[in-house]
Parts: sequence; structure tokens; C-alpha cells
Amino acid sequence: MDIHNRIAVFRAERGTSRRELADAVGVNPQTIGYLERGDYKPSLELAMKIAAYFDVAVEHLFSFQPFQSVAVALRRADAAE
Amino acid sequence: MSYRTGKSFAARMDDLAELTGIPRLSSQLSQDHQRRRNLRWPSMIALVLATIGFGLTIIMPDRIFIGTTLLWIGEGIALFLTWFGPVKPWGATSGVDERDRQLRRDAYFAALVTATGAAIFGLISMAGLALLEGWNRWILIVEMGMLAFYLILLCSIVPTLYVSWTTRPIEDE
Repeated sequence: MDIHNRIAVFRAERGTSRRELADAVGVNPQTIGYLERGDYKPSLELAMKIAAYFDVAVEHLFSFQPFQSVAVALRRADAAE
Repeated sequence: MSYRTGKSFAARMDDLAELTGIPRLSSQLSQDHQRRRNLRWPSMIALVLATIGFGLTIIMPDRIFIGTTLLWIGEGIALFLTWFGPVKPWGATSGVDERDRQLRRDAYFAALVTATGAAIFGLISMAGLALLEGWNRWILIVEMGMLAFYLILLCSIVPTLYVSWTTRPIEDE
């Protein structure tokens, strides 16, 4: 089963480079790249470390279902208001 | 100790060794600081050369040097694959994360399966050829040695080949 993530979105929002995130969670920068591309499924330990780095719950970063795009989420938020 | 440089003989020998660049390369490799790349075609070429070389040693046991030369060329390429390829060596401790370890396990498992298959096929083929071609004891011993060399080469080449063809390289930011 595929695991989707939005590490790239969180990283862009924070202005964090792959290397900075990789150093913080103890992996190589390439591993962050493979994670973002969906070519690598992280261990529970790594997933929790990344979630802790961004100060969010693991399920906010990783999901079995694809995440909504930012545009769709904004449109829904506007419609809800 | 030399009066001109103030260095001992051992220190001067160390300086000579440093000039070759090998100690620096060795240090980089042990700490795994260099960038590793997918080596699809070099690993494929090494495998093809080694396989043709091994095949030639079996087809032409009287001219074994032709096949042996190809096997050694394959060995030379395989050495570079382990240094610069995507699979980090078992001994490397720094710069190895969970993805590297998973990749290494998968790669060496593929190599083990390949080498086991080649060993079974090679031993059966060799026994058959020894009977059909009437190989004497000396030829059989040499051919067994070539098979062992080929299996060692498979264990060096297949991990890089497997990882290089099953993963896509990641671009720098």
C-alpha cells in the first residue's frame, strides 16, 4: 500500500532545506528527497521524528489516502466560511 | 632522521604515500563522504564482460587466458562500483541511514539469489561438460576456480546493478 506524505509542503512553508531536515532527523538529504517523491517508506521512528520536527501529528504528514492539494483545501475553507 | 628536512625515514615515506592520493581516497571512502551515483551501464558492462569471460573459459579451456582477462576486467570495474555505486559497503558506519541499510539488504539478497542460481547451474553444467568433453582433472580444477571467481564477481556487481536499475537518482536541491 502506498503511503502519501506532504513533507515538501511543510518544508516549503518553514523554508527548511532538505539538508536541514535531514540533519535534524539523522538521515541523508537524499533520503528526504526519496521520501518526498514517495520512493521510500519511512520507519515509524523516522516518521515520528519528522512529525516532531514540524510539531504536528504523524497523520498530518503521512496518510494512506492522497492529501488534498493546497488550492482545493483553500477553496473548501472559503466555502465553509 | 634526515638532517636536511628534519623528518624521519618513516615520516618521509608517509609523505610519499600521501602524494599518491590513495590515503585521502581511502579516508573518504571509509567515512563515506563522496557522492554515490547510480551506475547502470558500468555495472551492466562489468556483468556482461564477466559472463562472456566465464563462458569463454568453459568453451575454450585450452585458451583460458582470454576468458580470464575478461573476468579480471570485470573485477576491475566491480572495484569501482563498490567505491562509487549506490550501495554503501557493509563496513561503512558513518553516513549510513535506514534507507541505505534497507537498500543494502535488498541489494545483497538479490546478489545472493543470483549467485546461488549461478552456482547450481554452473556446477551441473560443469559436471555435464566434464563428462561430454572428457576434461581431465587439471581442467576441471581450473574451471572450478573460474566458477568461484565468477560467483565472487556476481556478489560484487549484482548489488550495484540491482539498485541502479530499481531506483531513480534524486536531484540536488
